[in-house]
Amino acid sequence: MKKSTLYVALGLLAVALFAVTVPMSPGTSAKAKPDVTALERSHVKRGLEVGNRVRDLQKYNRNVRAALAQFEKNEKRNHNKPKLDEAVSVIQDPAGGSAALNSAHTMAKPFRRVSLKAQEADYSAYGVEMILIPTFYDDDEWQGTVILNGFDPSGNYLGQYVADVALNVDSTDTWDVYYESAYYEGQGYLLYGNPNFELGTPRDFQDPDAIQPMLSTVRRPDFRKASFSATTPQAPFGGPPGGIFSRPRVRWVLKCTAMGSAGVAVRCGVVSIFFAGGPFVPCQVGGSAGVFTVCTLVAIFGT
Amino acid sequence: MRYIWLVLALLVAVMGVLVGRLLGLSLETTSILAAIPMFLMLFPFLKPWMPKLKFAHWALSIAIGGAVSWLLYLAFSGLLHLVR
Repeated sequence: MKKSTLYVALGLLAVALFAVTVPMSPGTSAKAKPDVTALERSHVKRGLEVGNRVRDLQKYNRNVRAALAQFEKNEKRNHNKPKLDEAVSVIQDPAGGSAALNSAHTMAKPFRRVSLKAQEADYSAYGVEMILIPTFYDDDEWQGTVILNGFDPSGNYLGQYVADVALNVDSTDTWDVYYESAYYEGQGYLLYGNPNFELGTPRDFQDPDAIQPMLSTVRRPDFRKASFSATTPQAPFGGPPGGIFSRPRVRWVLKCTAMGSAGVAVRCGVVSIFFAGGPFVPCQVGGSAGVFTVCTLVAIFGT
Repeated sequence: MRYIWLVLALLVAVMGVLVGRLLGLSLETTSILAAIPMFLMLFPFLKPWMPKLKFAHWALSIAIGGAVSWLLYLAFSGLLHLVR
């Protein structure tokens, strides 16, 4: 089987898996009949059990080892290492049985229902195991390693996909991939994003140029198929989605100014104490303006 | 290790204010003079996030930022003085 077909299958299965595992709203769940079969086929595990499985994979699987090593090598710089014991395993069993090598007792049905419409490829009976190993995450960002194991409807193992992935919430509140590097035979191949991107370092602390995708025009990321948004909306007149505040450099300046201003507030408080009630407001205003100037100049010079 | 530079910068700031106070300098002078070494000390702390940043650029940024800060400080002090 061609690898691209396998990845399409894995991507579609991941979407199906998310559709099963994402909780529905109370209003919807009251009306909708639960798909018992689909629920029985999906399992979610997390914690030490998954962590130990990842450790085994790290020991014997060079793709997993290489993918995790990319995060580990930056640990001294960003203090984020793969959190193996926080890994999550999401399994969608194949229709024919558990996600294991069980082709001996389950076979796909030889006949399919007659239809006048041309049948599209149906991957719903396929199985997939998705292991998500986080290295850094917060409310609007996730960086980590993703391992996908694919199974055909009979439970035969199809193949594996290992990738380092970085996602963030875009201006439309949907998760989007901005970096993806896949591993084959222990070697990483950048599929989407920027080669200078530092894995494990939060997006806001990256070199602003390093989060601009260089390979976006060549191809789109495979893992994007498993995200909740299929397309990135374009702002009118060709501007960036979300306006000027979505630009990484502007966000960095704002964050730098906010942190610096907090420091200035403490400092002005200390100065006021030492000088018996020195003026706090001019000190704070002047200090914040100075910090903003410094942050802006640093963003210009430092990138 | 990175946060040591942050702590050192804070210590330098406090020491700068203390020295200014002991020398009998004015509040404005002490405030700006203590801020400059503190910001210079923050360079190693900031460097990992801005790998291309050079110390000369950092010093220049602080000088310009300090001037802006100083002008606004004087302006707001004068404004408050007028209001009172």
